[in-house]
Amino acid sequence: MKILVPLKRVADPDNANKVKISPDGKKVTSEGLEWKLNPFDEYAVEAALRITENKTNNARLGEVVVVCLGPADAKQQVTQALAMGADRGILIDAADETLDATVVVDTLEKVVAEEKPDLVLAGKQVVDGDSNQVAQMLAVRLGWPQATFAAHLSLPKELNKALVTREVDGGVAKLEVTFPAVISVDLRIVAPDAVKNGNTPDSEKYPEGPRYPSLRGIMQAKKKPLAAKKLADYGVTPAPRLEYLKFEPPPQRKAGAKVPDVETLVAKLKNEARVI
Amino acid sequence: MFRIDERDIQFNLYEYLKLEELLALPAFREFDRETFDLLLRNAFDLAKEVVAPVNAPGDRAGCRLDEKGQVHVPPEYHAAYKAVREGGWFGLSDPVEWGGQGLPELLRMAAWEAFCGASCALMMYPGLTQAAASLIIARGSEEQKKTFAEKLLSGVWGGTMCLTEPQAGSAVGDSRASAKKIREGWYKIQGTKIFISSGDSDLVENTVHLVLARTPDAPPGVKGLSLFIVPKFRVGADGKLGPFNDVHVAGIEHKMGIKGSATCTLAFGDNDQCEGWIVGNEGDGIAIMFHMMNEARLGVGLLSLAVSSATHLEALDYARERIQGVDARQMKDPNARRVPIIEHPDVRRMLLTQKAYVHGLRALMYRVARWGDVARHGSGEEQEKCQALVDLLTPICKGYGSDRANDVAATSVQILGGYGYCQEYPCEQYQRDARIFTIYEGANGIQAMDLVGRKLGMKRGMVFMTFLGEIQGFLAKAKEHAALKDCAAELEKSVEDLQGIAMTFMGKNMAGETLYVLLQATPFLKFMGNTVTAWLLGEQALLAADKLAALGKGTGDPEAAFYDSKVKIARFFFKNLLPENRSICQGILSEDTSALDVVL
Repeated sequence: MKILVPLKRVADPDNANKVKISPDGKKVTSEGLEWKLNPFDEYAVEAALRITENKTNNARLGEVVVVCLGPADAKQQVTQALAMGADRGILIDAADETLDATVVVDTLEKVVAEEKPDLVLAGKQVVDGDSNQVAQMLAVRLGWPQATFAAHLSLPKELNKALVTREVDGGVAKLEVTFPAVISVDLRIVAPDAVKNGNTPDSEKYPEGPRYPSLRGIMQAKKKPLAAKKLADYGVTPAPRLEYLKFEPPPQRKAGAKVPDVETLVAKLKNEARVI
Repeated sequence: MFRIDERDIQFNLYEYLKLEELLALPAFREFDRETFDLLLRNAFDLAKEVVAPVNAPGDRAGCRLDEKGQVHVPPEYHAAYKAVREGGWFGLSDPVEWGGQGLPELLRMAAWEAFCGASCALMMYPGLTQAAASLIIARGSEEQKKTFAEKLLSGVWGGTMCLTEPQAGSAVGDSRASAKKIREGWYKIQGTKIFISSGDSDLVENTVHLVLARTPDAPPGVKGLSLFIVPKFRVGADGKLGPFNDVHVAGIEHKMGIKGSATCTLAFGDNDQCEGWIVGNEGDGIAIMFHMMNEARLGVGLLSLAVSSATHLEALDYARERIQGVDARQMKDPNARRVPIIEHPDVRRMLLTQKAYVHGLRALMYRVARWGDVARHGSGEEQEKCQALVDLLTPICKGYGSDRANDVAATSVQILGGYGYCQEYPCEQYQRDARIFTIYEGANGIQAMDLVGRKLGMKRGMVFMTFLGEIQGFLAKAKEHAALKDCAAELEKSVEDLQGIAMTFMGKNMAGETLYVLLQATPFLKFMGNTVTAWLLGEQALLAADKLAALGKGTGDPEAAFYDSKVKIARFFFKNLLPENRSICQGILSEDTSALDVVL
């Protein structure tokens, strides 16, 4: 059983006010930003680790390979995933701004051909661009079944298929996918009992959220294999199809106005705000 | 919200103390900066996201002793303790052989500063457990190490140090707990110990007490004390837990602060069924226990740093947001812009005073940790010198550090005003929690006596001279450096006075006027603490000034602003806080014996 988890680094969402737009308005400048693993990717790593372990005896039931497209310092984020427990990493050198869904999918398709995983487990989207395209496009390219926005995963002991619970408007949908497959995960996949793998007893309650690396995991991380690759190694040229025309900061909130009486308020709500 | 001064920690580790140079020591050769960064990031995240949220609930809930004599910690503590324990953070700098990671103590200081600042009451459990493990690893027999070390370092069992008895607190030599030999290495223990931190808890399967007790024919005083390992549950040869070892929790204290830390009265051997395993030989107890006491004293210095940093950053955030009053220059204009209180000069003075003490204490604790690393893993003269400096400055770390932490904690409450006094904000808890730091692990009066009675005279005063030499070396640079040359003289004066006072003390001791020396011990500790703080802040300022110049940017740049602040902190300390030494010195040399003579 092998799971491939694609990773991307993002500017720390907790420090969003540090994000600045370049003077020409064409890009977001990354100087001085703190970088973190995309939260949904972190959830995917956690889910992959839960799938590939037997919590009763800490036995590993499979291999988790993380693959990241990003600049050299994205090594930090790959190492973070290795410290959490992933078995090995692949870092493919690429500038953040050249990564549109096509470039990523072109590359991942080749990585999948090389690694032959049983499952690609991805975050549902990256919180910078919020495109939410990679998992879907990759599944189509590979001709594999896909299940997106997984909130709950249930696998049989053999780990050869998954019953995926997805939250959709107006309820939940359940899909069964046979591996190889592409699954993208949502926030709820890191709930204490969101992943069942037929090996760890179903009663196991994990701590909420992605796991914190142990000190031992941190010390072992640098000893794990981390392959440094280039886009060219996969025959991909970083020619994004997507062109960013202009970035604008969100408009500043305007000061409120005081109204003399209820009539004016109602009139304004009706005529200016048009909410009643 | 709990914050960690990550920038100053980075500055101390990598720029000031050059952590990477420690990697030259054989013990640390396999480590690298990348691992350190990864480790710190994860320690800080864990502290902020998992440990800090239990601090206030733990204070409200406190500990509970049930009718069966079992202590229950605040319910919120379990998950946080488990995360720190399972993460393996107890044994960060302990030997790999016993389940530690063998990393530098300097790095542990940084990680634990975060955990302790997040919840100093919770961290009492890991703190004592790690110290107990460290004692057993350093002084225990192979069998004792095999039985206890790994269980303690992994936090599955807890550890304590049991010295205090109702009649023997600071006067540990008056301990009465008894130990009667039953077979080779094993003794029946009987007696009562009080104020035992982490004396029992439902966080762990077993609690391992390190107990000072007296054998039947032992001489009176500290020389008659031996040290015993006394587990709550006996441990079989297979490492499995055996029967109850007759250690009862007779009660827990209801305290002003650190309410989540169980402070227990323990009754050993009420039914004559309590067995203890001697560490070392009979009569070696106090000498061996000093290993743990010294670590615990440095631990209090670390707690002092951690809590003072946390409460300072809380006050800083509050001062930036709290709008109150106008710029004093526009006082008469009723429509003047309302300003955040950080713009008021008096608030700025309070904040910078806090910052100076916090940064000074961080520089001291980290520097001592680095000396400790060389003392443990280095060799030759350098190793010896580092150990001596650690020994000399331990009472400063504990005594001066905890006194200043209390000043800082009180100032935070002041900055927050009425809200500071309310539970809605964390500063009142920080102040209550910090209050114990000046008392436990040797009250600060004991630290001062240790300093003047034992430490100044170490190796016939040579250690003290080495220490003064270090400061003089710095002064030679400071007098030539634009950043500090106009205020270096103030430190020079302190160094001269420090020497003068030490000579006076020596003369007084020889003339039999020991009481006068003891009368002035606490002011002396403060004097020396101020001097050390000025020295270390000064060293950091020179380094920062050079970095600032190399950076060539204005204080609009965050890095430049940081380096500039390091220079200004030192200048503020030299010009505003260090002159306190003049009045302290005057008092110490006054020859006034009123306090000894008066009818109180």
